[in-house]
Amino acid sequence: MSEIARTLDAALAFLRLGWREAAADRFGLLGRVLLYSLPVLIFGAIWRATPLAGSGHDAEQLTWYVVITEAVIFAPGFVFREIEEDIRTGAIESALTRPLAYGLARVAEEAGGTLFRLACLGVYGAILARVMTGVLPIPASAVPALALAMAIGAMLALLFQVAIGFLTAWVGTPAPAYWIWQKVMFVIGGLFLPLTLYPDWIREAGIATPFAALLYHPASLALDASPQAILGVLGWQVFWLAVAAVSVTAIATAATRRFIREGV
Amino acid sequence: MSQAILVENLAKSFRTRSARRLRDLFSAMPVAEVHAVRGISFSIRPGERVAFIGPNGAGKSTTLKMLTGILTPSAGHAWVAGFVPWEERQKLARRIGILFGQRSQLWYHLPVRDSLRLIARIYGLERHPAEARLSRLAKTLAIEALLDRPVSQLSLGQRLRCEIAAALMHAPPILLLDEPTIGLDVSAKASLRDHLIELSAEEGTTILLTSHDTGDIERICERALVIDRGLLLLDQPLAALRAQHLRHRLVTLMTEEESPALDLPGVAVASREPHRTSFAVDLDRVPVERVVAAALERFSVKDLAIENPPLDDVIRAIYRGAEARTA
Repeated sequence: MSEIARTLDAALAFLRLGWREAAADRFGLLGRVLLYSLPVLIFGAIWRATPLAGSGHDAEQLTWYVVITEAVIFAPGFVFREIEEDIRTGAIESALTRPLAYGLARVAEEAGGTLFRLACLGVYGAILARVMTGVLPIPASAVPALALAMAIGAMLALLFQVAIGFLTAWVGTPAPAYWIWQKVMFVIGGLFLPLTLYPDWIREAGIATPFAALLYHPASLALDASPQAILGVLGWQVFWLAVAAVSVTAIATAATRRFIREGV
Repeated sequence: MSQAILVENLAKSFRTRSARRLRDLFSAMPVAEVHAVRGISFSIRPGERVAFIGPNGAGKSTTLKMLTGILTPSAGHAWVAGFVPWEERQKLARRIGILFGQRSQLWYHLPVRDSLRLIARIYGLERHPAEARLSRLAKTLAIEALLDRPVSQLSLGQRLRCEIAAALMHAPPILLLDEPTIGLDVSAKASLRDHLIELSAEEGTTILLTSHDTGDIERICERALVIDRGLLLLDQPLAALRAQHLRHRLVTLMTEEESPALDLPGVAVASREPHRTSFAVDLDRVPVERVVAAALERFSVKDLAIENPPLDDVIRAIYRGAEARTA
Protein backbone atom coordinates (compact mmCIF):
# COMPACT_ATOMS: atom_id res chain seq x y z
CA MET A 1 0.00 0.00 0.00
CA SER A 2 1.44 3.41 -0.95
CA GLU A 3 1.75 6.20 1.58
CA ILE A 4 -1.13 8.15 0.00
CA ALA A 5 -3.35 5.06 -0.08
CA ARG A 6 -2.55 4.36 3.59
CA THR A 7 -3.39 7.94 4.55
CA LEU A 8 -6.67 7.87 2.61
CA ASP A 9 -7.60 4.51 4.10
CA ALA A 10 -6.94 5.80 7.62
CA ALA A 11 -8.90 9.01 6.91
CA LEU A 12 -11.77 6.90 5.62
CA ALA A 13 -11.69 4.85 8.83
CA PHE A 14 -12.00 8.08 10.85
CA LEU A 15 -14.84 9.27 8.61
CA ARG A 16 -16.69 6.02 9.28
CA LEU A 17 -15.96 6.32 13.00
CA GLY A 18 -17.44 9.84 13.08
CA TRP A 19 -20.55 8.62 11.23
CA ARG A 20 -20.99 5.72 13.70
CA GLU A 21 -20.45 7.99 16.74
CA ALA A 22 -23.04 10.47 15.45
CA ALA A 23 -25.48 7.63 14.72
CA ALA A 24 -25.03 6.29 18.25
CA ASP A 25 -25.68 9.72 19.80
CA ARG A 26 -29.47 9.52 19.53
CA PHE A 27 -30.24 12.09 22.24
CA GLY A 28 -27.83 14.56 20.66
CA LEU A 29 -29.57 14.11 17.33
CA LEU A 30 -33.01 14.50 18.90
CA GLY A 31 -31.88 17.74 20.57
CA ARG A 32 -30.60 19.07 17.29
CA VAL A 33 -33.84 18.16 15.51
CA LEU A 34 -35.86 20.02 18.14
CA LEU A 35 -33.62 23.09 18.05
CA TYR A 36 -33.60 22.99 14.24
CA SER A 37 -37.38 22.92 14.13
CA LEU A 38 -37.67 26.16 16.11
CA PRO A 39 -36.19 28.67 13.62
CA VAL A 40 -37.77 26.81 10.71
CA LEU A 41 -41.25 27.03 12.25
CA ILE A 42 -40.77 30.63 13.43
CA PHE A 43 -39.35 31.95 10.18
CA GLY A 44 -41.90 30.00 8.15
CA ALA A 45 -44.60 31.86 10.08
CA ILE A 46 -42.77 35.20 9.75
CA TRP A 47 -42.45 34.89 5.96
CA ARG A 48 -46.15 34.17 5.61
CA ALA A 49 -46.95 37.27 7.71
CA THR A 50 -44.60 39.90 6.22
CA PRO A 51 -44.59 41.80 2.95
CA LEU A 52 -40.94 40.71 2.43
CA ALA A 53 -42.39 37.56 0.94
CA GLY A 54 -43.61 39.67 -1.93
CA SER A 55 -40.19 41.12 -2.77
CA GLY A 56 -39.23 38.74 -5.53
CA HIS A 57 -39.41 35.52 -3.51
CA ASP A 58 -42.56 33.95 -2.14
CA ALA A 59 -43.06 32.75 1.45
CA GLU A 60 -42.61 29.11 0.38
CA GLN A 61 -39.22 29.76 -1.18
CA LEU A 62 -38.05 31.75 1.83
CA THR A 63 -39.16 28.97 4.19
CA TRP A 64 -37.21 26.40 2.16
CA TYR A 65 -34.26 28.84 2.24
CA VAL A 66 -34.21 28.77 6.07
CA VAL A 67 -34.68 24.99 6.11
CA ILE A 68 -31.49 24.65 4.06
CA THR A 69 -29.31 27.23 5.90
CA GLU A 70 -30.32 25.89 9.31
CA ALA A 71 -29.59 22.28 8.29
CA VAL A 72 -26.10 23.33 7.15
CA ILE A 73 -25.41 25.24 10.34
CA PHE A 74 -26.77 22.57 12.72
CA ALA A 75 -24.91 19.67 11.08
CA PRO A 76 -21.34 20.24 12.37
CA GLY A 77 -20.57 19.69 16.04
CA PHE A 78 -18.32 21.95 18.07
CA VAL A 79 -15.03 20.58 16.85
CA PHE A 80 -13.13 23.76 17.82
CA ARG A 81 -13.91 22.95 21.46
CA GLU A 82 -12.64 19.39 21.07
CA ILE A 83 -9.39 20.59 19.51
CA GLU A 84 -9.02 23.17 22.28
CA GLU A 85 -9.58 20.40 24.86
CA ASP A 86 -7.02 18.12 23.19
CA ILE A 87 -4.46 20.93 23.31
CA ARG A 88 -5.23 22.03 26.87
CA THR A 89 -5.12 18.50 28.29
CA GLY A 90 -2.08 17.49 26.24
CA ALA A 91 -4.07 14.66 24.60
CA ILE A 92 -2.82 16.00 21.27
CA GLU A 93 0.65 14.71 22.19
CA SER A 94 -0.51 11.09 21.88
CA ALA A 95 -2.06 11.88 18.51
CA LEU A 96 1.14 13.55 17.30
CA THR A 97 3.07 10.32 17.88
CA ARG A 98 0.97 8.56 15.23
CA PRO A 99 1.77 8.36 11.53
CA LEU A 100 -1.48 10.17 10.61
CA ALA A 101 -1.69 13.96 10.90
CA TYR A 102 -3.84 14.99 13.88
CA GLY A 103 -5.67 17.66 11.84
CA LEU A 104 -6.59 15.22 9.09
CA ALA A 105 -7.84 12.63 11.58
CA ARG A 106 -9.96 15.29 13.32
CA VAL A 107 -11.41 16.64 10.08
CA ALA A 108 -12.21 13.14 8.80
CA GLU A 109 -13.88 12.07 12.05
CA GLU A 110 -15.92 15.27 12.31
CA ALA A 111 -16.81 15.09 8.60
CA GLY A 112 -18.33 11.65 9.20
CA GLY A 113 -20.47 12.97 12.06
CA THR A 114 -21.40 16.13 10.15
CA LEU A 115 -22.51 14.20 7.06
CA PHE A 116 -24.65 11.86 9.17
CA ARG A 117 -26.37 14.75 10.93
CA LEU A 118 -26.76 16.68 7.68
CA ALA A 119 -28.45 13.67 6.06
CA CYS A 120 -30.86 13.35 9.00
CA LEU A 121 -31.61 17.07 9.23
CA GLY A 122 -31.89 17.33 5.44
CA VAL A 123 -34.49 14.57 5.21
CA TYR A 124 -36.37 15.83 8.28
CA GLY A 125 -36.20 19.46 7.05
CA ALA A 126 -37.48 18.49 3.61
CA ILE A 127 -40.49 16.70 5.14
CA LEU A 128 -41.13 19.60 7.54
CA ALA A 129 -40.89 22.22 4.78
CA ARG A 130 -43.07 20.20 2.43
CA VAL A 131 -45.73 19.94 5.14
CA MET A 132 -45.44 23.67 5.95
CA THR A 133 -45.41 25.00 2.38
CA GLY A 134 -47.05 22.24 0.35
CA VAL A 135 -44.50 22.75 -2.43
CA LEU A 136 -41.08 21.48 -3.53
CA PRO A 137 -39.39 24.62 -4.89
CA ILE A 138 -36.74 22.85 -6.95
CA PRO A 139 -37.07 20.20 -9.63
CA ALA A 140 -36.22 16.63 -8.56
CA SER A 141 -33.28 16.65 -10.99
CA ALA A 142 -31.64 19.47 -8.96
CA VAL A 143 -31.90 17.65 -5.61
CA PRO A 144 -28.49 15.91 -5.92
CA ALA A 145 -26.86 19.29 -6.67
CA LEU A 146 -28.63 20.79 -3.65
CA ALA A 147 -27.44 17.89 -1.45
CA LEU A 148 -23.88 18.38 -2.71
CA ALA A 149 -24.03 22.14 -2.11
CA MET A 150 -25.33 21.58 1.44
CA ALA A 151 -22.57 19.04 2.11
CA ILE A 152 -19.91 21.48 0.87
CA GLY A 153 -21.44 24.24 3.01
CA ALA A 154 -21.30 22.00 6.11
CA MET A 155 -17.69 21.02 5.30
CA LEU A 156 -16.77 24.70 5.03
CA ALA A 157 -18.31 25.33 8.45
CA LEU A 158 -16.34 22.37 9.79
CA LEU A 159 -13.04 23.60 8.32
CA PHE A 160 -13.60 27.09 9.78
CA GLN A 161 -14.11 25.49 13.19
CA VAL A 162 -10.96 23.37 12.85
CA ALA A 163 -8.96 26.50 12.01
CA ILE A 164 -10.46 28.28 15.04
CA GLY A 165 -9.65 25.28 17.24
CA PHE A 166 -5.99 25.37 16.23
CA LEU A 167 -5.84 29.07 17.21
CA THR A 168 -5.57 27.70 20.78
CA ALA A 169 -1.86 27.30 20.01
CA TRP A 170 -1.51 31.11 20.02
CA VAL A 171 -4.46 32.64 21.85
CA GLY A 172 -5.11 30.13 24.64
CA THR A 173 -8.87 30.15 24.32
CA PRO A 174 -10.44 30.35 20.85
CA ALA A 175 -14.06 30.87 21.97
CA PRO A 176 -14.07 34.66 21.25
CA ALA A 177 -12.82 34.00 17.71
CA TYR A 178 -15.60 31.45 17.29
CA TRP A 179 -18.30 33.85 18.45
CA ILE A 180 -17.07 36.59 16.11
CA TRP A 181 -16.90 34.14 13.19
CA GLN A 182 -20.38 32.82 13.96
CA LYS A 183 -22.00 36.26 14.13
CA VAL A 184 -20.34 37.40 10.90
CA MET A 185 -21.45 34.17 9.23
CA PHE A 186 -25.04 34.63 10.40
CA VAL A 187 -25.16 38.16 8.96
CA ILE A 188 -22.92 38.12 5.88
CA GLY A 189 -23.70 34.48 5.12
CA GLY A 190 -27.44 35.12 5.04
CA LEU A 191 -28.63 32.67 7.68
CA PHE A 192 -32.22 33.91 7.84
CA LEU A 193 -32.47 36.27 4.86
CA PRO A 194 -31.22 35.65 1.34
CA LEU A 195 -28.48 38.13 0.35
CA THR A 196 -30.73 39.17 -2.55
CA LEU A 197 -32.84 41.03 0.01
CA TYR A 198 -29.82 42.94 1.41
CA PRO A 199 -28.82 46.46 0.27
CA ASP A 200 -26.81 46.31 -2.95
CA TRP A 201 -23.37 47.08 -1.49
CA ILE A 202 -23.65 44.43 1.24
CA ARG A 203 -25.04 41.88 -1.17
CA GLU A 204 -22.27 42.46 -3.70
CA ALA A 205 -19.56 42.27 -1.06
CA GLY A 206 -21.13 39.39 0.81
CA ILE A 207 -21.80 37.12 -2.13
CA ALA A 208 -18.10 36.60 -2.81
CA THR A 209 -17.22 35.71 0.80
CA PRO A 210 -16.75 32.22 2.22
CA PHE A 211 -19.70 32.93 4.53
CA ALA A 212 -22.04 33.10 1.55
CA ALA A 213 -20.50 29.93 0.11
CA LEU A 214 -21.37 28.27 3.39
CA LEU A 215 -25.02 29.36 3.75
CA TYR A 216 -26.43 31.65 1.07
CA HIS A 217 -25.17 29.83 -2.01
CA PRO A 218 -26.58 26.36 -1.22
CA ALA A 219 -29.85 27.83 0.08
CA SER A 220 -30.18 30.11 -2.96
CA LEU A 221 -30.97 26.96 -4.95
CA ALA A 222 -34.40 27.11 -3.26
CA LEU A 223 -34.86 30.46 -5.05
CA ASP A 224 -33.31 29.54 -8.38
CA ALA A 225 -32.29 26.01 -9.29
CA SER A 226 -31.52 26.58 -12.95
CA PRO A 227 -28.44 24.83 -14.36
CA GLN A 228 -26.60 28.20 -14.55
CA ALA A 229 -27.43 28.93 -10.91
CA ILE A 230 -26.25 25.47 -9.84
CA LEU A 231 -22.95 25.94 -11.70
CA GLY A 232 -22.44 29.36 -10.15
CA VAL A 233 -23.17 28.04 -6.62
CA LEU A 234 -20.87 25.03 -6.94
CA GLY A 235 -18.16 27.19 -8.54
CA TRP A 236 -18.07 29.57 -5.56
CA GLN A 237 -18.23 26.69 -3.10
CA VAL A 238 -15.45 24.63 -4.67
CA PHE A 239 -13.26 27.75 -4.79
CA TRP A 240 -13.80 28.50 -1.10
CA LEU A 241 -13.50 24.85 -0.12
CA ALA A 242 -10.06 24.74 -1.76
CA VAL A 243 -9.03 28.00 -0.06
CA ALA A 244 -10.30 26.71 3.30
CA ALA A 245 -8.51 23.36 2.92
CA VAL A 246 -5.20 25.10 2.12
CA SER A 247 -5.68 27.61 4.96
CA VAL A 248 -6.57 24.95 7.53
CA THR A 249 -3.60 22.84 6.47
CA ALA A 250 -1.32 25.88 6.88
CA ILE A 251 -2.76 26.76 10.31
CA ALA A 252 -2.62 23.14 11.54
CA THR A 253 0.96 22.80 10.31
CA ALA A 254 2.01 26.05 11.98
CA ALA A 255 0.31 25.05 15.24
CA THR A 256 1.95 21.61 15.19
CA ARG A 257 5.35 23.22 14.56
CA ARG A 258 4.75 25.47 17.51
CA PHE A 259 3.86 22.52 19.76
CA ILE A 260 6.96 20.64 18.64
CA ARG A 261 9.17 23.67 19.15
CA GLU A 262 7.78 24.91 22.47
CA GLY A 263 5.80 21.99 23.87
CA VAL A 264 2.04 21.66 24.25
CA MET B 1 22.99 2.38 13.29
CA SER B 2 23.50 -0.45 15.80
CA GLN B 3 21.83 1.30 18.75
CA ALA B 4 18.07 1.33 19.19
CA ILE B 5 18.33 4.74 20.86
CA LEU B 6 21.34 7.03 20.77
CA VAL B 7 21.32 10.37 22.58
CA GLU B 8 24.19 12.89 22.51
CA ASN B 9 24.25 16.04 24.64
CA LEU B 10 20.50 16.45 24.40
CA ALA B 11 19.21 19.63 26.01
CA LYS B 12 15.90 21.47 26.21
CA SER B 13 15.19 24.90 27.62
CA PHE B 14 11.83 26.61 27.82
CA ARG B 15 11.37 30.35 27.91
CA THR B 16 8.61 31.45 30.23
CA ARG B 17 7.22 34.88 30.90
CA SER B 18 6.12 35.80 34.37
CA ALA B 19 4.37 38.81 35.85
CA ARG B 20 5.57 39.28 39.42
CA ARG B 21 4.01 42.67 39.91
CA LEU B 22 0.76 44.11 38.60
CA ARG B 23 2.58 46.63 36.42
CA ASP B 24 4.45 43.75 34.69
CA LEU B 25 1.14 42.91 33.04
CA PHE B 26 1.25 46.23 31.19
CA SER B 27 4.89 46.12 30.14
CA ALA B 28 7.26 43.61 28.61
CA MET B 29 7.19 40.69 31.02
CA PRO B 30 10.52 39.35 32.22
CA VAL B 31 11.58 36.21 30.40
CA ALA B 32 12.95 33.34 32.44
CA GLU B 33 14.73 30.37 30.92
CA VAL B 34 13.99 26.98 32.43
CA HIS B 35 16.51 24.25 31.66
CA ALA B 36 14.48 21.04 31.66
CA VAL B 37 17.21 18.82 30.21
CA ARG B 38 20.90 19.80 30.33
CA GLY B 39 22.96 17.89 27.83
CA ILE B 40 22.35 14.22 28.55
CA SER B 41 23.94 11.35 26.61
CA PHE B 42 23.20 7.64 26.61
CA SER B 43 22.60 4.75 24.27
CA ILE B 44 20.31 1.74 24.40
CA ARG B 45 20.97 -1.49 22.54
CA PRO B 46 18.19 -3.31 20.66
CA GLY B 47 16.26 -5.54 23.03
CA GLU B 48 17.48 -3.79 26.20
CA ARG B 49 14.98 -2.89 28.91
CA VAL B 50 15.99 0.36 30.53
CA ALA B 51 14.43 2.38 33.35
CA PHE B 52 14.53 6.16 33.21
CA ILE B 53 14.26 7.24 36.82
CA GLY B 54 14.01 10.62 38.47
CA PRO B 55 11.84 12.74 40.75
CA ASN B 56 9.05 14.96 39.44
CA GLY B 57 10.45 17.73 37.26
CA ALA B 58 13.71 15.86 36.66
CA GLY B 59 13.34 15.99 32.87
CA LYS B 60 12.11 12.44 32.19
CA SER B 61 8.96 13.34 30.29
CA THR B 62 10.71 16.12 28.37
CA THR B 63 13.37 13.63 27.24
CA LEU B 64 10.73 11.09 26.31
CA LYS B 65 8.87 13.73 24.28
CA MET B 66 12.06 14.59 22.41
CA LEU B 67 12.67 10.91 21.69
CA THR B 68 9.17 10.54 20.24
CA GLY B 69 9.62 13.61 18.05
CA ILE B 70 6.91 15.75 19.62
CA LEU B 71 9.43 18.21 21.08
CA THR B 72 12.48 19.75 19.44
CA PRO B 73 15.60 19.96 21.60
CA SER B 74 17.45 23.23 22.16
CA ALA B 75 20.73 21.43 21.53
CA GLY B 76 22.17 18.00 20.96
CA HIS B 77 21.31 15.02 18.79
CA ALA B 78 19.26 11.88 19.07
CA TRP B 79 18.49 8.92 16.86
CA VAL B 80 15.66 6.52 17.58
CA ALA B 81 15.45 3.45 15.35
CA GLY B 82 17.82 5.33 13.06
CA PHE B 83 15.57 8.39 12.73
CA VAL B 84 16.07 11.91 14.05
CA PRO B 85 12.75 12.05 15.95
CA TRP B 86 11.79 15.72 15.55
CA GLU B 87 12.70 15.72 11.85
CA GLU B 88 11.11 12.39 10.89
CA ARG B 89 8.29 12.16 13.38
CA GLN B 90 5.75 10.36 11.20
CA LYS B 91 8.28 7.83 9.86
CA LEU B 92 9.49 7.18 13.38
CA ALA B 93 5.89 6.67 14.53
CA ARG B 94 5.79 3.36 12.65
CA ARG B 95 8.87 2.12 14.54
CA ILE B 96 7.92 3.03 18.11
CA GLY B 97 5.05 2.23 20.43
CA ILE B 98 4.14 4.66 23.16
CA LEU B 99 2.12 4.23 26.30
CA PHE B 100 1.32 7.20 28.50
CA GLY B 101 -0.18 5.63 31.63
CA GLN B 102 -2.31 8.69 32.36
CA ARG B 103 -3.63 9.13 28.82
CA SER B 104 -5.67 6.79 26.74
CA GLN B 105 -5.13 6.15 23.08
CA LEU B 106 -8.28 4.06 22.83
CA TRP B 107 -11.68 5.44 21.87
CA TYR B 108 -13.80 5.67 24.98
CA HIS B 109 -17.14 4.61 23.48
CA LEU B 110 -15.82 2.02 21.05
CA PRO B 111 -15.38 -1.68 21.79
CA VAL B 112 -11.70 -2.53 22.29
CA ARG B 113 -11.62 -4.59 19.09
CA ASP B 114 -12.80 -1.61 17.01
CA SER B 115 -10.23 0.68 18.64
CA LEU B 116 -7.45 -1.78 17.83
CA ARG B 117 -8.69 -2.18 14.26
CA LEU B 118 -8.75 1.59 13.85
CA ILE B 119 -5.18 1.80 15.15
CA ALA B 120 -4.19 -0.91 12.66
CA ARG B 121 -5.57 1.25 9.84
CA ILE B 122 -3.78 4.34 11.15
CA TYR B 123 -0.54 2.36 10.87
CA GLY B 124 -1.51 1.06 7.43
CA LEU B 125 -1.57 -2.61 8.39
CA GLU B 126 -3.16 -5.02 5.92
CA ARG B 127 -6.38 -6.60 7.16
CA HIS B 128 -5.25 -10.23 7.63
CA PRO B 129 -1.91 -9.54 9.33
CA ALA B 130 -3.69 -6.99 11.53
CA GLU B 131 -6.32 -9.53 12.61
CA ALA B 132 -3.60 -12.11 13.32
CA ARG B 133 -1.66 -9.56 15.37
CA LEU B 134 -4.79 -8.56 17.28
CA SER B 135 -5.53 -12.21 18.17
CA ARG B 136 -1.95 -12.83 19.26
CA LEU B 137 -1.80 -9.73 21.46
CA ALA B 138 -5.23 -10.50 22.91
CA LYS B 139 -4.02 -13.95 23.91
CA THR B 140 -0.70 -12.79 25.34
CA LEU B 141 -2.24 -9.91 27.26
CA ALA B 142 -5.26 -11.97 28.31
CA ILE B 143 -7.76 -9.48 26.90
CA GLU B 144 -9.71 -11.86 24.67
CA ALA B 145 -12.81 -11.56 26.86
CA LEU B 146 -12.59 -7.76 26.79
CA LEU B 147 -12.39 -7.24 23.04
CA ASP B 148 -16.09 -6.68 22.49
CA ARG B 149 -16.61 -4.45 25.52
CA PRO B 150 -16.55 -0.65 25.19
CA VAL B 151 -13.43 0.92 26.68
CA SER B 152 -15.68 2.93 29.02
CA GLN B 153 -16.71 -0.31 30.77
CA LEU B 154 -13.19 -1.54 31.56
CA SER B 155 -11.38 -1.35 34.87
CA LEU B 156 -8.11 0.58 34.93
CA GLY B 157 -6.03 -2.61 34.90
CA GLN B 158 -8.02 -4.04 32.00
CA ARG B 159 -7.76 -0.77 30.11
CA LEU B 160 -4.00 -0.57 30.55
CA ARG B 161 -3.58 -4.09 29.15
CA CYS B 162 -5.63 -2.95 26.15
CA GLU B 163 -3.49 0.22 25.90
CA ILE B 164 -0.40 -1.98 25.66
CA ALA B 165 -2.04 -3.96 22.88
CA ALA B 166 -2.74 -0.64 21.13
CA ALA B 167 0.88 0.46 21.51
CA LEU B 168 2.09 -2.87 20.11
CA MET B 169 -0.41 -3.39 17.26
CA HIS B 170 2.14 -2.33 14.62
CA ALA B 171 4.85 -4.52 16.20
CA PRO B 172 7.23 -1.67 17.00
CA PRO B 173 10.82 -2.65 17.83
CA ILE B 174 10.95 0.11 20.47
CA LEU B 175 8.43 0.68 23.25
CA LEU B 176 8.39 3.86 25.33
CA LEU B 177 6.38 3.60 28.52
CA ASP B 178 5.56 6.59 30.69
CA GLU B 179 4.23 5.46 34.10
CA PRO B 180 2.59 2.34 32.67
CA THR B 181 1.23 1.00 35.98
CA ILE B 182 0.11 4.24 37.60
CA GLY B 183 -3.08 3.76 39.63
CA LEU B 184 -3.11 -0.05 39.41
CA ASP B 185 -3.54 -2.38 42.36
CA VAL B 186 -0.78 -4.83 43.31
CA SER B 187 -2.05 -7.83 41.35
CA ALA B 188 -2.87 -5.80 38.23
CA LYS B 189 0.62 -4.28 38.36
CA ALA B 190 2.22 -7.72 38.65
CA SER B 191 0.15 -9.05 35.77
CA LEU B 192 0.98 -6.07 33.53
CA ARG B 193 4.69 -6.35 34.28
CA ASP B 194 4.65 -10.07 33.46
CA HIS B 195 2.94 -9.38 30.14
CA LEU B 196 5.47 -6.71 29.25
CA ILE B 197 8.40 -8.98 30.01
CA GLU B 198 6.86 -11.82 28.03
CA LEU B 199 6.23 -9.61 25.00
CA SER B 200 9.65 -8.04 25.16
CA ALA B 201 11.32 -11.46 25.38
CA GLU B 202 9.27 -12.90 22.53
CA GLU B 203 9.71 -10.02 20.12
CA GLY B 204 13.02 -8.57 21.25
CA THR B 205 11.35 -5.23 21.92
CA THR B 206 13.53 -2.49 23.34
CA ILE B 207 11.84 -0.86 26.34
CA LEU B 208 12.51 2.56 27.83
CA LEU B 209 10.35 3.01 30.88
CA THR B 210 9.76 5.92 33.24
CA SER B 211 8.08 5.14 36.52
CA HIS B 212 7.93 6.23 40.11
CA ASP B 213 7.08 2.67 41.04
CA THR B 214 10.31 0.89 41.84
CA GLY B 215 8.52 -2.43 41.39
CA ASP B 216 8.13 -1.67 37.67
CA ILE B 217 11.81 -0.92 37.41
CA GLU B 218 13.00 -3.92 39.40
CA ARG B 219 10.72 -6.38 37.63
CA ILE B 220 10.97 -5.15 34.05
CA CYS B 221 14.34 -3.45 33.61
CA GLU B 222 17.93 -4.56 33.57
CA ARG B 223 19.54 -1.14 33.49
CA ALA B 224 18.73 2.25 34.96
CA LEU B 225 19.34 5.82 33.89
CA VAL B 226 18.94 8.21 36.80
CA ILE B 227 18.15 11.83 35.97
CA ASP B 228 17.67 14.81 38.25
CA ARG B 229 17.29 18.50 37.43
CA GLY B 230 17.97 17.74 33.79
CA LEU B 231 21.29 16.01 34.40
CA LEU B 232 22.02 12.34 33.98
CA LEU B 233 23.34 11.28 37.37
CA LEU B 234 23.89 7.62 36.67
CA ASP B 235 23.77 5.01 33.94
CA GLN B 236 24.25 1.51 35.34
CA PRO B 237 22.94 -2.05 35.38
CA LEU B 238 20.35 -2.38 38.10
CA ALA B 239 22.43 -4.86 40.10
CA ALA B 240 25.46 -2.54 40.08
CA LEU B 241 23.24 0.35 41.08
CA ARG B 242 22.16 -1.51 44.16
CA ALA B 243 25.64 -2.79 44.99
CA GLN B 244 27.26 0.64 44.72
CA HIS B 245 24.64 2.85 46.19
CA LEU B 246 23.26 0.96 49.08
CA ARG B 247 25.77 -1.06 51.02
CA HIS B 248 23.40 -2.91 53.25
CA ARG B 249 21.18 -5.98 53.30
CA LEU B 250 18.23 -6.86 55.45
CA VAL B 251 18.54 -10.25 57.21
CA THR B 252 15.28 -11.46 58.72
CA LEU B 253 15.32 -14.35 61.17
CA MET B 254 12.39 -16.46 62.41
CA THR B 255 13.65 -18.04 65.63
CA GLU B 256 12.57 -20.13 68.60
CA GLU B 257 13.96 -17.32 70.73
CA GLU B 258 11.59 -14.43 71.22
CA SER B 259 14.12 -11.58 70.92
CA PRO B 260 17.47 -12.72 69.55
CA ALA B 261 20.35 -10.23 69.69
CA LEU B 262 23.44 -10.14 67.45
CA ASP B 263 26.31 -8.10 68.83
CA LEU B 264 28.38 -7.86 65.66
CA PRO B 265 29.92 -4.68 64.30
CA GLY B 266 27.80 -3.22 61.49
CA VAL B 267 24.64 -5.09 62.51
CA ALA B 268 21.64 -3.26 63.93
CA VAL B 269 18.06 -4.27 64.64
CA ALA B 270 15.82 -2.85 61.92
CA SER B 271 12.50 -4.20 63.24
CA ARG B 272 11.41 -6.65 65.86
CA GLU B 273 8.32 -8.76 66.56
CA PRO B 274 8.14 -11.79 68.85
CA HIS B 275 10.18 -14.56 67.18
CA ARG B 276 10.81 -12.42 64.10
CA THR B 277 13.70 -9.98 63.94
CA SER B 278 15.13 -8.04 60.99
CA PHE B 279 18.76 -6.92 61.09
CA ALA B 280 20.23 -4.20 58.89
CA VAL B 281 23.70 -5.32 57.85
CA ASP B 282 26.36 -2.80 56.81
CA LEU B 283 28.31 -4.66 54.14
CA ASP B 284 31.30 -2.35 54.46
CA ARG B 285 31.81 -3.55 58.03
CA VAL B 286 30.67 -7.15 57.99
CA PRO B 287 29.96 -9.66 55.20
CA VAL B 288 26.44 -11.00 55.18
CA GLU B 289 27.74 -14.61 55.28
CA ARG B 290 29.30 -13.93 58.69
CA VAL B 291 26.05 -12.56 60.04
CA VAL B 292 24.14 -15.63 58.79
CA ALA B 293 26.75 -18.01 60.20
CA ALA B 294 26.62 -16.28 63.57
CA ALA B 295 22.82 -16.41 63.61
CA LEU B 296 22.71 -20.11 62.77
CA GLU B 297 25.31 -20.83 65.43
CA ARG B 298 23.63 -18.88 68.22
CA PHE B 299 19.89 -19.32 67.66
CA SER B 300 17.37 -21.97 66.68
CA VAL B 301 16.56 -20.54 63.28
CA LYS B 302 13.26 -21.74 61.76
CA ASP B 303 13.48 -19.52 58.66
CA LEU B 304 15.79 -16.92 57.25
CA ALA B 305 15.53 -14.31 54.49
CA ILE B 306 18.15 -12.02 52.97
CA GLU B 307 16.63 -9.08 51.15
CA ASN B 308 18.04 -6.41 48.89
CA PRO B 309 17.14 -2.91 49.89
CA PRO B 310 14.12 -1.48 48.11
CA LEU B 311 15.04 0.50 45.00
CA ASP B 312 13.35 3.54 46.53
CA ASP B 313 16.19 3.64 49.07
CA VAL B 314 18.77 3.25 46.33
CA ILE B 315 17.34 6.17 44.40
CA ARG B 316 17.12 8.30 47.52
CA ALA B 317 20.77 7.55 48.23
CA ILE B 318 21.75 8.60 44.70
CA TYR B 319 19.86 11.87 45.00
CA ARG B 320 21.40 12.55 48.39
CA GLY B 321 24.84 11.90 46.93
CA ALA B 322 24.20 14.20 44.00
CA GLU B 323 22.88 16.95 46.30
CA ALA B 324 25.94 16.62 48.52
CA ARG B 325 28.23 16.91 45.48
CA THR B 326 26.32 19.98 44.22
CA ALA B 327 26.49 21.62 47.64
